[in-house]
Amino acid sequence: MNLAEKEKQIARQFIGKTPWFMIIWWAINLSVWFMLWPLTLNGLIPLWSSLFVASICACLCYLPSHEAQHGNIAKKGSSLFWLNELIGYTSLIPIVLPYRLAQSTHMLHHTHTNHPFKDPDYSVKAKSLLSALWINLFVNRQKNLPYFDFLEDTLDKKIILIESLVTRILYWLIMISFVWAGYGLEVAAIWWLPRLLGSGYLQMTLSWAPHHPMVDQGRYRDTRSFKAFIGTYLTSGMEYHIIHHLHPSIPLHLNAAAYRALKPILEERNCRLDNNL
Amino acid sequence: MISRIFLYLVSKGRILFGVFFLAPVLSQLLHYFELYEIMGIPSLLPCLFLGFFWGLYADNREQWF
Repeated sequence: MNLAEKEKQIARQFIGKTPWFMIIWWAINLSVWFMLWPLTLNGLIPLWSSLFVASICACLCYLPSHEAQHGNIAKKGSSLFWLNELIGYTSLIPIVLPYRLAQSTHMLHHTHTNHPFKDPDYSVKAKSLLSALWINLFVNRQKNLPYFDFLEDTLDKKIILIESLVTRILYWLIMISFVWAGYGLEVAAIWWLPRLLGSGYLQMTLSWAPHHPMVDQGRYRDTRSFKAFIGTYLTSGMEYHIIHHLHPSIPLHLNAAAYRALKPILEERNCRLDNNL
Repeated sequence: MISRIFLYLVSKGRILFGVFFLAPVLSQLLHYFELYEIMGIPSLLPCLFLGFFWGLYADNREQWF
């Protein structure tokens, strides 16, 4: 059996099961975020605690949608596909990221990882950790990153544009209504600041760290495994992101086990692996 | 016509953000610290002034800082 077949055979052991872990993650995270609204607006919890909890929710909100983007919760045509789409759309509410836009650009990221002009995530590139923190938490947060420029001019692009426009308008209408009703600090603590923090965190952990230094291209070189000093949990499991790029159908919570099973093959393939992991 | 107006408003998003979001939030932040007036003027007015000109600066420079 050749190496590619061996790799597929091992990967198949981790594919196909309903990722209940991610479904529970979505349900708890979104419920907590929604509960913050009545609690904060009625003054039942202090503003700083709303900001703290909402920021955690914003950092955690992307990954359930990420599974949905790959159809890992339920495939198109299955009876549970509605759940896949529900999770895909709703889990992104805290960071106001339109699902179809996220999905389209993410697929392009997979196809063209680390390509300077074709990878929509290339804007996160930075030479060092400090520089990456500056770019992703500060510089990129002030910009409208040109995600639409990566999409081809098709009917899908028009739909994605309209969906994104509606999402953005609704967000600002809600924010401004609450602000002028006297709840400016509350909505800033629940939605505005956490959205900025969460987006920055996601760019650091999902886009920058696993692909750094974003030079190599190709299936076995564009993503790396790495031992993060803040640990697996605080990086949302992104230390094993190489498994996701090789086999996107393996759900996040099985990436570490799949990494251990596939490690001998990854070594033979000359992948960028951290010896400490 | 409507789409042109809309696109114009989107292009001036940073100024609108400064006036309609940042200014009242800053004013409410001052209220939170019991600063209701600045040199006898209700705090919202200087915040609106700051929000507009900061938005204008951000619009020209394409960054807030």
